[in-house]
Amino acid sequence: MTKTAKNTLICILVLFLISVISVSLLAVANKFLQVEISLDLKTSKLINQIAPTEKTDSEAFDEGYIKMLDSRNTEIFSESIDKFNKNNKKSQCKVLALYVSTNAQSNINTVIIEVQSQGFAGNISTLTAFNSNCEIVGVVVKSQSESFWNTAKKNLDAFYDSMIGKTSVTNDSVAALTGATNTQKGIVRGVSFACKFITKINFNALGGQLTFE
Amino acid sequence: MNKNKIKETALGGILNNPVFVLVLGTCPTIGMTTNVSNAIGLGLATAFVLIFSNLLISLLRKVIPDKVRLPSYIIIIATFVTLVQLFMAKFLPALNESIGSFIPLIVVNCIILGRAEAFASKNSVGYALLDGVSMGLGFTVALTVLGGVRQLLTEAGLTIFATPTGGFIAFGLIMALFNFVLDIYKKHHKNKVLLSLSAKGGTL
Repeated sequence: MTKTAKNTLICILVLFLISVISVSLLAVANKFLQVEISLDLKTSKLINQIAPTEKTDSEAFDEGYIKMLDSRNTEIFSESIDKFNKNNKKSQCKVLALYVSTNAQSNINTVIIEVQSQGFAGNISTLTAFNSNCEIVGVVVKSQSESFWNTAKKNLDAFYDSMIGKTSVTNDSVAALTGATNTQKGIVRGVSFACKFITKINFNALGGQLTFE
Repeated sequence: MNKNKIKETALGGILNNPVFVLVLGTCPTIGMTTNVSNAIGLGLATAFVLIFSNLLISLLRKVIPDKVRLPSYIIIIATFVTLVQLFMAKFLPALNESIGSFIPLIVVNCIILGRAEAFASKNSVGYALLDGVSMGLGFTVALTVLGGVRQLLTEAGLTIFATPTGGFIAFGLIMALFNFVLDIYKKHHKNKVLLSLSAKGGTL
């Protein structure tokens, strides 16, 4: 082997080894530092906006009118969240959690799906509320890091309202977020993914826990 | 270990302060010093990456071939930045929401790569670690001072200091003051050296 070839091989080997060690270290760290999705007061407040419990935000959270469903319950989920996400990898979305909001006066339950989708500058986390007919009754963005969010905020209410009553959404079927087209596409992608997942919920298995109108 | 070199390295964070003397890492300096907590958070995150990347690069300085040193340094620095991101997302979600978008930028912060190339790759582990600590603390203190001044002035009613314009003004003024004081110290130190030399009968 020539000296040049030997030097090149050594360079490639060193880079490869450093990369392997870095990736291994990050894989181990990721296992211990993974953020677990849980219901917090901030999420509960947002859910209370789109699926009202007729209670104050703190009461709804403290008294259990808003709950998170266990995604490992295979009776409720005909396809588990992990499997659904794996089967739909190409969509650039993933379901993060499922919540239930109970109206204190009517006792009607609403299912809320949290979806993470790819926006313009990063991930957008959206909460979509559904009634028993799998129709959208409320949408709100939980978190985002979009560059044009200030522009998008101007038409946000009209944008959310245009999705109410629908069982599926596309970019053409909703009001436009002027000046934030890619952000709009990201949110619509997330809501559309939630519309796909709601059909995997086995409402009959919820029995006494959930009753629908 | 050379005592003079240890002293020089340890004081590097002040005498060669990365923010006010070397003027490196200006983007996060202006962007994240609108308040003290963001400034401290970003400063400590940068210090962590600087210390551990200096340590590892110094350890591997005789192993990494010259031709691939920059890509190797970037991989090492990016690994530590990702660790910081994961840690903040898990344990400091509120801080992560405030400064999260600036954490990935630490990879391309000139201070980190500059110290790796200029110091860590040419010195032993002990000196590299000391340099990382000194520079990291120097960066953190500089950001904290700037953040504190901007926050105080903003709360006093001068809202311009919450904007990048005011940030640059505050940065420039503090930099001028810092270098003025540093000049006085250097002159005093030089005079002290001259005096001690002439007392011993030496010449320059």
